[in-house]
Amino acid sequence: MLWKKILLCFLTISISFSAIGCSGNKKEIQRLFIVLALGVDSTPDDRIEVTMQLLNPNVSGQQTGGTDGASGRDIIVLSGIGDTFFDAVFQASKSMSQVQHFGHTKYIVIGETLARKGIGDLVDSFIRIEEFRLNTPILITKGKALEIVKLQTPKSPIPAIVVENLFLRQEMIGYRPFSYLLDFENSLTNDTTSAVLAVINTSKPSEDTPDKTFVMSGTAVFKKDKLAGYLTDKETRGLQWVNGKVQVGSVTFVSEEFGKVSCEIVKSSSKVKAIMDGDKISIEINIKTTSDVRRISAKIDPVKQPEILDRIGKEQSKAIKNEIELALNESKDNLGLDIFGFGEAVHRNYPKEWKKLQKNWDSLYPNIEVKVNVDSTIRSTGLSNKSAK
Amino acid sequence: MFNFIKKLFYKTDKSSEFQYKDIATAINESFNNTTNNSTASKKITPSTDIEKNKRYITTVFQKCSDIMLRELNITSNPNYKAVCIYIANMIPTELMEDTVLRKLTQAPQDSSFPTDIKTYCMSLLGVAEDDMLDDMNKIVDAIVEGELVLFVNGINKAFTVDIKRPPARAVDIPPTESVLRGPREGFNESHGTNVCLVRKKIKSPNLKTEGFKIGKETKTNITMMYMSNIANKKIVDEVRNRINKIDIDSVLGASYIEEYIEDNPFSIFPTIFRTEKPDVAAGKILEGRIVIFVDTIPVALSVPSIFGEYFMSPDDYYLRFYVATLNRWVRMLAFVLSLALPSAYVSLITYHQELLPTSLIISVIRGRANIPFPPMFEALFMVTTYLVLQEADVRMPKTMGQSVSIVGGLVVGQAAINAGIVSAHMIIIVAFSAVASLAVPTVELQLPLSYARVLLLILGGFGGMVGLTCGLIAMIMHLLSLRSFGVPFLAPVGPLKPSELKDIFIRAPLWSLKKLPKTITWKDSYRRKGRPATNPITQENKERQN
Repeated sequence: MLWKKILLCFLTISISFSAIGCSGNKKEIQRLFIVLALGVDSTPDDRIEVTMQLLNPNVSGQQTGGTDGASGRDIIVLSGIGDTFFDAVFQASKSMSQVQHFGHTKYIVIGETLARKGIGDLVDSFIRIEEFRLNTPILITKGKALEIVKLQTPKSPIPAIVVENLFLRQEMIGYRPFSYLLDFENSLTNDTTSAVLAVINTSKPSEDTPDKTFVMSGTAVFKKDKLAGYLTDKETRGLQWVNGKVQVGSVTFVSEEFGKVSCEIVKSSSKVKAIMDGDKISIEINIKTTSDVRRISAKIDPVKQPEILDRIGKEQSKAIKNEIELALNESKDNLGLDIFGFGEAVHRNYPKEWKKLQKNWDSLYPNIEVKVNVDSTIRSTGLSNKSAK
Repeated sequence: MFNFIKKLFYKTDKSSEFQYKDIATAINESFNNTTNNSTASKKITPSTDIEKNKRYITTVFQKCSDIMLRELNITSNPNYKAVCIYIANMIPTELMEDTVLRKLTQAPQDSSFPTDIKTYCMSLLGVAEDDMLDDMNKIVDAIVEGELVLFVNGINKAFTVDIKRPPARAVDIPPTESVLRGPREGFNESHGTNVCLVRKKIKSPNLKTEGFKIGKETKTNITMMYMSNIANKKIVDEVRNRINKIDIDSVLGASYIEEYIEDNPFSIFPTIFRTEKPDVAAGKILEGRIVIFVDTIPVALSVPSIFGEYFMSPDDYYLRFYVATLNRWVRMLAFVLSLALPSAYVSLITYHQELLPTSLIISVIRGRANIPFPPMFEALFMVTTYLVLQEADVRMPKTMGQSVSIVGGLVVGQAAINAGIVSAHMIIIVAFSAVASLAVPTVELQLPLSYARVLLLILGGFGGMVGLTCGLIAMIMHLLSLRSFGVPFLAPVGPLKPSELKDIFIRAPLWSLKKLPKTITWKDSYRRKGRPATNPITQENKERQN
């Protein structure tokens, strides 16, 4: 009886410890190379070049953030070339004294040449390696990914964190599309909706800012897994209005009545609805925004004439509608790719008919009619009622 | 879980169970065996001849230099020879000289001297006929108790007077249970004082005190105190039974009793509550618990005890209830952190690096860059260091305090970081967990925390979060299995009784604690009424205001 109990205890402990996945993965934290950023390029001979930005563990805590601009101290950049992504990582690790760890990768950047060739296999690798977080941002750069990963900024000793913050901020403003690993993978598997990714570039040095920095510049649009084209900043925001993702930022427009007006967006939301009339498909986009006036040329007094706010709102709606039309035109006429997910909207509203439409959606899409309704509310004119002029 | 350990221990001691034949005989034996006379349980009647009695006493107390025999003549009459026997310093010399000796030797105040010397002494000393001792064994017991024994020539009985005043400390502030607003007095080493301090607070004939004498050699006084109208009779009987069954040579502290009567002798958690404060003891008694006083120790035991009790401080009932509730939460949080924080940290940085925020992991990596040991051993090293310092601190003479705190604080802490032996993060974690354990108000729960912490640390170091979780589950299961005198240790959470939680997780206002805790008393009973309106709007009040 007694020995049975001891045996039972022993078995319970040993089975539970052998059954769990993480028992064999003991990794001491100081024996790890934390990969902060990952760049993937294509070499001229069709191989994969991986560049990793690694945290240099041998810098003691007190020295970080030193003012001496200690470039190359806080981070280490390593490259490797191989036939596949994983192969290249291990080629790079030949020169690494420690094991790499992808759990803290802040972003993955992919060079344009590779993106044009197709990145389906690459994304497949990312999904399979369990260390990658599914919410890792994926970016496209117009040059080589190597350049982005290597770039040191004067602001922070760890450039990957600068990029991460830039990425998060730009999403709220609407100058970058939703571009996380999992979302990208989902849109790759979707037959009708085209995948989009954010584009990051380095700024050209000017007199005021001699150092290169990172710039978010628009959107890369994919046809299947191959890069098909780009959207500009304005068009990107048009896309983000439709997605309902614009939460801060400004809308500036010129109108006859009020002159030059600049409004700060407080919040926005959108609804996309498909309407089928016989064989004709049309899409209705309803956008609601709330904003505050931040600059206005005309002298207005909203206390005496509250309806003036509605008139400003109507002008603002026009401006927003313009941005959306820009994105719509680019997507329908030039690229011919459904980046808005209108196909999905039809699928939701007309699931039976969608099965027939799905096959030739590519040819249908440029011809569908899109109706954009923007409803802007001006909440206030700021703290001042009168113009300063 | 501990069954096999139990068996190992009990195997060698199986015969002892048969020794508890009969409680009554067991006690008798323990009383009588002590005289080093062969005629142990037989009654020996004192002789009428005072010289014979004296010889008997001096033989029993051979080589006892502290036994005092003082011969005197009552009323200074040589016909009435008498001898006083007592233990030196048990009765102060002044008291002896001024009262007893003077009273006995001086001439009777009224001229009519009673013919009967026995009646004269009885009235003089205030001893009743039945209280006089007629057994030599009992007389010897009375002497070692510290009482004054008087033999008078011609009387075959002995007078005993309890005027002992052994050296004792005054009532003082208890060092381990300090409070902000509560009463400051604490128990001391004198049994009678301790019992009296509680009696002082509960002026009710329902407060019962039952005395025992445990220990063949020490014959230590033990008193069980309870409210006969509140405490559960079954628990009282159980406590009495368990105390009676104790067969021990000596009792030098409360733990001698505790270890004999507690339900789970192998658990690291205490199932008997201890306190140094009479107000806490009185509170426990009024909730239906039974308090056991042991002579010679400034601590009272209280049973049955529940886990929630160990998070209560006497201050909870003397401060406003919002403050008291917050303090109680802080203590619970401190307990959990103290238990699991080192283990959680080690398992996070050894197995689950992706669970830490990047900025934190950067700082941890840099802090650990040149540390030669794996995190688990580093943590064990620091925990051990802390335990050594803590143990040294308890025993440290005050004159050496400076050097130990400098060595402990500066050398072990700061220098170890600078030398690169431990990381600063680890020091923070271990130090916080050590300090957090001190936020738990009872020492009995602070000390087992170190065990549990090290155990969880090893589990966390080898098994990561899974190991830590397994350890915590095992600990909770063990706590659930504990009983204290028939009451589940985790009650009222274990078997859930929602109405009683308001004195466990919060300290509800006193007027809302109308019922006695059912987990302790096993019955529904009201102890107080709710709060009446302070300013009822009556006609009279209205008129007065106007």
